[in-house]
Amino acid sequence: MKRVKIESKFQATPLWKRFFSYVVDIFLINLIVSIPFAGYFESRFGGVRDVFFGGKSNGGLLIVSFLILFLILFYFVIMEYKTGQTIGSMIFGIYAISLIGKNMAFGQAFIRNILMPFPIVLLIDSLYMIFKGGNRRLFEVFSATAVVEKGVVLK
Amino acid sequence: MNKWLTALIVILVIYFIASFFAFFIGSRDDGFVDRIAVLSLEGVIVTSGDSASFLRGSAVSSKDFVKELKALDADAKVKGIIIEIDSPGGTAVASNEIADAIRNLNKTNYAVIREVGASGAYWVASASDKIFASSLSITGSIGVIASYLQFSELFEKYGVEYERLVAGDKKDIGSPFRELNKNERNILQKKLDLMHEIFIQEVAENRGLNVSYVKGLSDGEFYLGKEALDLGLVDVLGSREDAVEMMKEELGMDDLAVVEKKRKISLTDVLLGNMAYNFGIGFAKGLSEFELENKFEIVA
Repeated sequence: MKRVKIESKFQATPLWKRFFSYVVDIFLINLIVSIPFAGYFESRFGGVRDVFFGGKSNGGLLIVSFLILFLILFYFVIMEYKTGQTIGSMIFGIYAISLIGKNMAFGQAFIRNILMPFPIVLLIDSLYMIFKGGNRRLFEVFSATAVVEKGVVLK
Repeated sequence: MNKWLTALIVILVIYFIASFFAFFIGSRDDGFVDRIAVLSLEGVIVTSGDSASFLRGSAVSSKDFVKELKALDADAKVKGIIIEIDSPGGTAVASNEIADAIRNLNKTNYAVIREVGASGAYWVASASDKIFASSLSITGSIGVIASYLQFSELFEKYGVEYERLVAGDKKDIGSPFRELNKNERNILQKKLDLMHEIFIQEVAENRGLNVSYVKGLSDGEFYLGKEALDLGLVDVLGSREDAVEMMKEELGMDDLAVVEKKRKISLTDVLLGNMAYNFGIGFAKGLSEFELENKFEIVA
């Protein structure tokens, strides 16, 4: 496999940009997905609050939750596979790039985003950056991808 | 392709997938799990229309309530229905409509009386398989009231005269603008007595009690839950949770979810409800309708 050389070292993306980019994305996607299910929550549980505090197990809720997780994953994977950016990263001018090819493969996009629907686990994944340095999450290392700022040239 | 256009397409695709599944789940109306549905009956019981009004307090339309009951009855996932009552009563027709709908349910159904389940609301409760009430709930009040304010002397004082124009001598019987004569009073009293009799018969039949026994309890007196239990007007002193547990036991199904179906009141409903009321509908109704309504209130 042909390796792509990055002309200069990574132009470090400030952590705050990555954080706020994620916040924008997760807020947006939750909003888009929640709207169609608002009626479901209302009619089944008398309001969204009861879903979380009702204390009753519910098979329907489980299926809806899985669907929402899938759609969040779908959003991140497809956006980065197709454009290298999500809406959040477009706003903050940051890109996801592949380190082993000019374009990011679907598999790479999938692996790097697999934790996106789970913010707590994503936080643990992000601790790798702090302990190892290099501005990459553990799953970015696994997927041979990185997040860079606009202006980085690949050869 | 432009990145923003791609983003828009992805968002739309996600929205449509979510909408499809939401519709699929909603239209099947199952929610995937067997359940006990709790339906609230709160406020004055009326036949239809102006249910929501801040000025008048809450009301429940029998038309909407019966529709919801039928939908729950048709829902295969609903195994039992609990009607949670907090109502002082309402019109005779509306109360009877709901009671009929409850009698026709094919599913186990209980009524739980909270603060008040009196008069027309008790009529409704009596149609269910079992009645639960708190020991302090206000219930009973099996009677009919049609009292109204009569303004003829007030009008006379201010020189306002009621110009009577009727074809049919009893057409304006019960008008607040003139006094009832003896014959008219007898006619209205007979109607009330007849309604009272029907009310008593319905309660007796629903509760499996002797008509003469119920008649003895039907002077309009309200009973606290504890008294009502002793008199056979309620079955169990207990809360909604007790009703749920007993229903699970009766159905032999421990893992039923409890789902509360709430009446949705939109801002438009509230605004239009008030508007109609302010334009005189409420005023006219207050003067002319026969209502089974218990005005008694205990403030603790």
